[in-house]
Amino acid sequence: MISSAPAINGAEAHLDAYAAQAAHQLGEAVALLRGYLAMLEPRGERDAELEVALRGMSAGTERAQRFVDDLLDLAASARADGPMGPVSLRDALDTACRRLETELSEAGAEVHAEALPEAWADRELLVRLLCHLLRVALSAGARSIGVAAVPEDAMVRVEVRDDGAPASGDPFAPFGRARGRGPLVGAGVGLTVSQRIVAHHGGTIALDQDAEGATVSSFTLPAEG
Amino acid sequence: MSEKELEGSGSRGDDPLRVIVVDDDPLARRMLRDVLQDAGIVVIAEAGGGREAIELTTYYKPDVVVMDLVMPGIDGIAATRQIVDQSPDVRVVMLTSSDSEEVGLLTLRAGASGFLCKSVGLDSLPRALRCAREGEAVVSRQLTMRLIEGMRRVSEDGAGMRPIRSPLTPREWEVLDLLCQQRSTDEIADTLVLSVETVRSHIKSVLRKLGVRSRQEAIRCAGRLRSGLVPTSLAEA
Repeated sequence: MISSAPAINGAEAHLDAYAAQAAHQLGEAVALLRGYLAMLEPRGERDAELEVALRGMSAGTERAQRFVDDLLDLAASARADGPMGPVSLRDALDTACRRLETELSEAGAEVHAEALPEAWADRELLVRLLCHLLRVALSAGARSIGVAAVPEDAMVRVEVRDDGAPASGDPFAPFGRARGRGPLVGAGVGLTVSQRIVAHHGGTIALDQDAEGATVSSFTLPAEG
Repeated sequence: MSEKELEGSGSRGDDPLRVIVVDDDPLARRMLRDVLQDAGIVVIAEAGGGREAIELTTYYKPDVVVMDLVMPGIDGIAATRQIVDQSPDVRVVMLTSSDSEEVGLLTLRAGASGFLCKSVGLDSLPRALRCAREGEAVVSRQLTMRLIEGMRRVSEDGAGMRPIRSPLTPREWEVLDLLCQQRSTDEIADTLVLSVETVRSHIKSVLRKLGVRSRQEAIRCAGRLRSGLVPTSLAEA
């Protein structure tokens, strides 16, 4: 099992500052490209080569936007201060799946869940945490992702189990890309951000393989405030 | 228009300005909200991203949306385009750390009423937003100069000028521009490297969308659309 106890030290603070700066520089460029692409989209007939070029540019900008999103999320994860309260894990998972509808559909992957309890959390952060864990699984080639939760003392333990490639190296290191390299990977900070979100709630996160070879990301959150 | 003029105009300047603040940074949102509320502006909602901004704008119909540029998912320019398309009465003012004129011009093309750099200071923001509600452009002098330079490059017949919202596609506008230059169908086909049949189809579509019966009527309608004399909704009807 690879577990993690995060601490944002000076070097990480510098990294966060750089991530924020990079996100804004790259994000501005991506917004420009998307803006000009949007101007071209309503045109009527286009020759085949232009059509292919525009589709490629569009795919490229979406991939770059994913990188921007990750960098923004990394920078934001260090200064989370949203409201905490009872949150339905089921509802948070449904929201995460809606946000990743395209990615799940393109990957042909399915998310299934048992009855999920409530946890004491910042709802938006919990949704982002689940989005990151699902996307890490998708980038590892998972086709089946299961989510389950069990009470554990005053906490809730949530397990995200998938059939994708296992992790290598330190999965919680930023930019590690421990579980995949495809177009879904983004900046490779999904597990780093997940770790920070869980720590913000006073929980722990770990990555493990079960007896059947599935990869299990498990994290704990307070059951009540 | 000055703030005093706005206050005494007896128009919407008397009503509290209703604003949605959009920024992915919660600290930035809080700072903006405090500045605007101190100036008597009602911040009716906040959004952390473009998608949320579009949804909240559709629901609340604010006077003005203060929009960030770089955000997760849908960026500020794309969100502006959708908001202006869905809610033409809502003004969008982009407030960003970017001072790029290129970004500014694209933002205005997307339908924003203003483009402000965060470095100008937030003290002037309340007045800028009130001006935006009254239909004024909120842009820097440098950006205004770029717009003037662009206008000078436009030919006298207005070819190349487009209303922000139009029932015509960009290709149909190109065909209409050439019609305005009294080009024949064959000449338009040569210029745009299209078949004559395709050009005829575009012209037919232009006439139908503009609600006119002849090319000359379409040319006159184009002039009115460019000058804003005809609401595009009428042309769409």
